[in-house]
Amino acid sequence: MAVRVLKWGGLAIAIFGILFLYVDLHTTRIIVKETPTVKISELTPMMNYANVYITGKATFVKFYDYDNTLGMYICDLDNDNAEIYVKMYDTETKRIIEMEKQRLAENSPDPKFPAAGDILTIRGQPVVRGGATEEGGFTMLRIQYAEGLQIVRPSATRVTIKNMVSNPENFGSYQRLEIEGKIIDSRETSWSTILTVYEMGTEAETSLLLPSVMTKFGRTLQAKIGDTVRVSGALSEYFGAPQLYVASWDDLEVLG
Amino acid sequence: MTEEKICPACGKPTAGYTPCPHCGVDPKNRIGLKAAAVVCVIALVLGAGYFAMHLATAGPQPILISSIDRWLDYAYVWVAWTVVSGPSAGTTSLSFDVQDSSGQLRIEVYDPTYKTLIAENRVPTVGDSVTVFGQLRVYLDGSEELRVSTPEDLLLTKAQTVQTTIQEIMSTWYSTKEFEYKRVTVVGKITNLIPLSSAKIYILEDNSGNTLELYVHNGLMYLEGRYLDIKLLQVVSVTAGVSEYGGTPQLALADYDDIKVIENQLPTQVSLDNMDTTLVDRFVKVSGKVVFVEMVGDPSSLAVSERQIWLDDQYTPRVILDEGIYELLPDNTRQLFGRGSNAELVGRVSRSGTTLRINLVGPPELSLQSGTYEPSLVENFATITLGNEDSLVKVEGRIVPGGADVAHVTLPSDHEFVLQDNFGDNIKLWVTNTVYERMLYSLAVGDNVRVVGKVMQRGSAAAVQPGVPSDIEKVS
Repeated sequence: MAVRVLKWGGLAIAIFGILFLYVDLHTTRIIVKETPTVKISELTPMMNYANVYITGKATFVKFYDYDNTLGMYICDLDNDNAEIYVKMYDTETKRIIEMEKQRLAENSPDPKFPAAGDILTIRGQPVVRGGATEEGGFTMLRIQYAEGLQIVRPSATRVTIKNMVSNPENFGSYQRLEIEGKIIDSRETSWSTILTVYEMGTEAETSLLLPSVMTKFGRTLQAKIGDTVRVSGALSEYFGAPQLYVASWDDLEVLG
Repeated sequence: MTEEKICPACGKPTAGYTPCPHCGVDPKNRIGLKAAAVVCVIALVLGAGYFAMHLATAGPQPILISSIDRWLDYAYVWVAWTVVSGPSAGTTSLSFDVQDSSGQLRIEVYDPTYKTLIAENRVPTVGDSVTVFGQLRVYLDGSEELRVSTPEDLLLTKAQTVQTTIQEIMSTWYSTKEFEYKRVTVVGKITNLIPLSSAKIYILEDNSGNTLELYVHNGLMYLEGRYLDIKLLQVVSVTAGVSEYGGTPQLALADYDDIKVIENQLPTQVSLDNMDTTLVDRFVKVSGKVVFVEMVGDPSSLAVSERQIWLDDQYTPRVILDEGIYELLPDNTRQLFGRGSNAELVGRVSRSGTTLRINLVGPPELSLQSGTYEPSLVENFATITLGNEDSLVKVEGRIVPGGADVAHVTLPSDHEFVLQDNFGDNIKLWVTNTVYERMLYSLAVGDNVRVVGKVMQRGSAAAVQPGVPSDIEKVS
């Protein structure tokens, strides 16, 4: 009798425990806590290898062709100096490339591959050695799954090229801007195509930087020298010269 | 009966036999436990002592660049080399190249370590010796770099400065290379500027006409927090490392304060009418009214490669302005840049065949005052002949059929139109793609246009070629 009670009682406790965890996970969150959201400036060595959410602005995004990985710098939304290097390894990087390709094919507005200027919410694993801003300190954030990367691409503000190149200080760093002009030059670098765009009337020019990874999104550059284009991108600078980082093919519209 | 004895090694009875019949041990030859313990302790102390002494005295063990291969990717190594180029600075990192007897390697220092090096004035420059501890990255494409993590991992021995001359550096360069990767101080005059996307190359010239390039990386402005302000014809003393690019020596500047202005030389002020061959190679200050500006296009794109300026009339030497120098002009100067403006500029006189030119070199010395200029209208196109080649005309007429565009493979076409005057005479209008693609409107048969342009030869006939988009005005 006692053994039978023990057997069925144990089974009942096990089932109840699992059900409790399931319900807790989806409702009350008494034991199963939410993944914490932290700021980059708040990362401490105690968070080494934790699982956290971080929301920040991408200031640099690069696809490394030789090992198919993605490297980015993001900073806190309210503090450009609190910056962290973010890494996504090859399997998941290939996945987000495929997801971006599919998005463009379906004309979906929600970007899947990040770009400079994007607001990213990342669920990932920080690696923290020392403090984030401490000398000799090192921080990095690993994105383990493509689903751990949520991208909000701010809408672009329409500006003249003249205004952009003459008064770049009037805009936020990596603010997304939209310009219109004629392509007058095109050249290749090791990881990008750079187009020079001329604004009719004002005679102002600027450079557009199209990262080579865009060619993996199922399209190629259709615009050629002499074409008039409408382009959105994140404002950045190259040794003092303002330029726009293009995020994906839907940032580039050939007008004729 | 044999006496019962126990083997001290295996613990089994030996029945008095030696050695033990079970394990073969002869107790007489065994080392005592105490002796074994003493030997072990001595070995431990000696071993640990040797290891500690090695750590304390060995110091960095640099490796050769040629020994770096893919197996050393992510390895931490010591290196001790001479800095041969840089520093190239960005907003978050700086880099420089080092060289040993076997090759060269790029060193990268990232934020926050690089900020510490700047604050402590320990940024390596060409000629310095560095001993660096860092992590190697060896990429699949064969490129290599070493990343430095902390300021303590970079030990710097600053190079001694040698006083020399441009002539000495140049004369020894192709023989002994005496000054290669040495830190030198030289005196020279700024006579030109070549703007690149990531750097500016100033040309230093001595009194004998010997020249030496001074490489100033644009990223230095991040280290300095200001722009470099040196002007054309300033005589400066520069202290910098002698690097090499494309087989020629190049001074690599590391600090704006390493340039000291000694003297401001003045150009010869001459009237445009008095220009002659005695002024070739000399810097002159001229002034005049801009009557025509011609944009010369890059053959592989629609970009402008240079602008040719006519001052006062077609008989004076043309002023040649490279587009890279034009882009260095301040916004307000560029806004005034065009026909009618009154210009005062400093340039260097050169000769192409029998024609004199004034090269408006950088750092540009150009001031403009607004003004207007319209050439007189040529009403009868029959009066424009090849005898008027290279003269300035203003014509007004209607575009009639007959023009032949010139197509290009990757670029928009150059356009040829035929203009007809009120007397029924025709002249060709030649508009390059560099100009046409910048026009706010396109041209078509039936349009009435007013054009300012230079007379040029097109086929066997004369044609009018506008210099800039605003030279063409659509009347109706």
